[in-house]
Amino acid sequence: MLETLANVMNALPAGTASTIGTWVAALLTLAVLSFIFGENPAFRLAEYLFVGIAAGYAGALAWTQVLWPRAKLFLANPQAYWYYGLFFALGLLLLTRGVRSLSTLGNLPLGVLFGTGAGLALGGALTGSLVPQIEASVVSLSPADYGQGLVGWAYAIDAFILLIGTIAVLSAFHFTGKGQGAWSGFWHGLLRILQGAGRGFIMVAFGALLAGATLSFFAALQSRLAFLLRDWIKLFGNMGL
Amino acid sequence: MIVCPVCQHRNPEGAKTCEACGASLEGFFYRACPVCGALNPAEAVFCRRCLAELIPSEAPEEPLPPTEAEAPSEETASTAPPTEKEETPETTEEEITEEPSVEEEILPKPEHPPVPVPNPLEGLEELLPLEAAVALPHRAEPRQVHFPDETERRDAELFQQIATEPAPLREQARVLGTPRTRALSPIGRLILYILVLLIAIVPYFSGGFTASWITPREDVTTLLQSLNSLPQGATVLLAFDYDPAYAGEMNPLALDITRQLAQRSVHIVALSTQPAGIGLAEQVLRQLSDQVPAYRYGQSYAILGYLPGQEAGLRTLNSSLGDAFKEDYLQRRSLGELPVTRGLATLADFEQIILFADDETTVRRWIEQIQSRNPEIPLHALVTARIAPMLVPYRQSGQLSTLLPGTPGAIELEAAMGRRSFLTWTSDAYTALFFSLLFIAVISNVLYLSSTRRVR
Repeated sequence: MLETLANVMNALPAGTASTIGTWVAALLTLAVLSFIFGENPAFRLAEYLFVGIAAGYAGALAWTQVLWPRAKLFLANPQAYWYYGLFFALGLLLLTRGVRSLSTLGNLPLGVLFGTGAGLALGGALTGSLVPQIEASVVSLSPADYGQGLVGWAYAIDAFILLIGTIAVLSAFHFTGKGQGAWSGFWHGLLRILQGAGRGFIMVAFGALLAGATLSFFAALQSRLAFLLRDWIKLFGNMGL
Repeated sequence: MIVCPVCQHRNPEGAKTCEACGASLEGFFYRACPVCGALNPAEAVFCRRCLAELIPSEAPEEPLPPTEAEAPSEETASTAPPTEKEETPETTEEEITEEPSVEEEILPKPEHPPVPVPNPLEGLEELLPLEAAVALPHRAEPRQVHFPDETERRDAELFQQIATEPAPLREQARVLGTPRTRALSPIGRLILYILVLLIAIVPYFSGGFTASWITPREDVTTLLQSLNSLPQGATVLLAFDYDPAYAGEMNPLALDITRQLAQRSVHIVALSTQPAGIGLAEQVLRQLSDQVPAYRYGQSYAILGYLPGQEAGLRTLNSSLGDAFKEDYLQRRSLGELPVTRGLATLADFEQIILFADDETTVRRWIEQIQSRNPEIPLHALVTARIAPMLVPYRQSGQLSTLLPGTPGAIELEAAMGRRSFLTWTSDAYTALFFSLLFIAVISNVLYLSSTRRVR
């Protein structure tokens, strides 16, 4: 069927497929932008189309890229590629989750999936995030370690802000009441100050994230406008309008 | 027969209220078993105790006398307070004694003689005085109905008053009501949308007057130096891990990088850990191939395809490229058949890894599974501006060789390479957006603070 469709497209005059694609993309872009005036059927149609096409594309890709090449190997030489047969069997067991009476059979592949994933993620988080980030938090506060003059001082102040920021943000998530003893008042007061500073650091981080998100979405808007104003309008010029 | 649910008094058929306590008897009816005498629901066909068939009696039943517990003895009858029945002057002691006994009432006369059931305790009456209690069906003791007196009623009213009274407010306590929402009106929202749209089309009229203000950041120059240091024929791994929603931001950056690599005759091998990313890789590399005709698929670049499995997939890629990909994406040929991938066995065969991503988790996964095991291979993260702030710690720790945010990174990269395109002109729009948002934020906060002060 896909070959037939490809043959039909090839039989069309040159540029027809591109023109159709541009028109479809332009109409869908306008449908999405129509959300400015609130929820409407055109926006819904575009939304459902995107979700459906993304799901269908992912399914087709999983078959052509992942499953079929390995199935070919297993069918051609089962003795050499027996482990692919095992994984296919586990995959089939996963399908039994949809049948109530057989759903317990699906626990085995799920256990393998979650167990492997959790093990790899935990090991990676330790060696790739936790330990390196703790190491990176141990910094020198001496300007001499960074260079001469104002540059050294600038780096030292940067390291000091990093240190204070780390401690303050960690303190912001320390929830405790005032304890007993001579030093409890002092520690409690110090903790309150650090918590306030930590909340300030968190707010700055949230502000940076918001600014970044605004920038990303504005870039998306600009690219779609560029498509409409250059590629789509060019088609009207080609039609002599 | 109807047994009163309140005092267990047995009332005749058709009674609406209990003769003893006056409680309503609507919906209550019992059928006595002709064999064992157990009381069954009206709709029962078989006895729930002995399973004998229940035969409805045709003859109307006589009104029941009070049970032994209810019937006052001769001594107590004179001292006990009179009931409603006793209050009637016609009722005499003889009439009460003439009424049928309890056993006669419980065992109504059936049409057919019941099947005799042998009494296991027959003949032992003298020895076992409890025989009657064992052989006869159990009957609950009549419940004493207690009506509260005046003192108890007053106490109950006082308790209800205390329980339902709202708690008194503490001194200086504030009453929190439903917060007033300060949503923008539809007209205001429309004006804001139109303003943003106008800002977005600024570059079409401005002509890039802010292009001279662009100063490439340190990471841009570092990345450019790193790419320019690659020898001719070296191979770089490119991961297109972003969604089509961010193609507008990421595609220009990816095109700039691939063009720079192609100009230096560096080979590109592309893959994606997101299904949609592989289509974007194809789009960018086809565009590159159109711009640089000598840069051909299979010879200079290849697309491996989609790598599933997240952490497990990356770990497979780390150990063996052939296990991760059996054939390429476009030509369906094994990796050994393509000149560009021939001789590539593991990640160690790549000079550098460049990651285009729109998700912080994806970048972290690459750092944790790939970079931590191959620290000698530089990992560059070119990400959307949305997630760039979250990855700064990895850049400061040195795990990422460079970190560039989407469109600003692309604009600065073009400036560093000395190129001028429409992308450079878009810096006018970003500048206009920055000042507009700053203006709106200041005005909004001033208005909010002034309104808050007025409320106080």
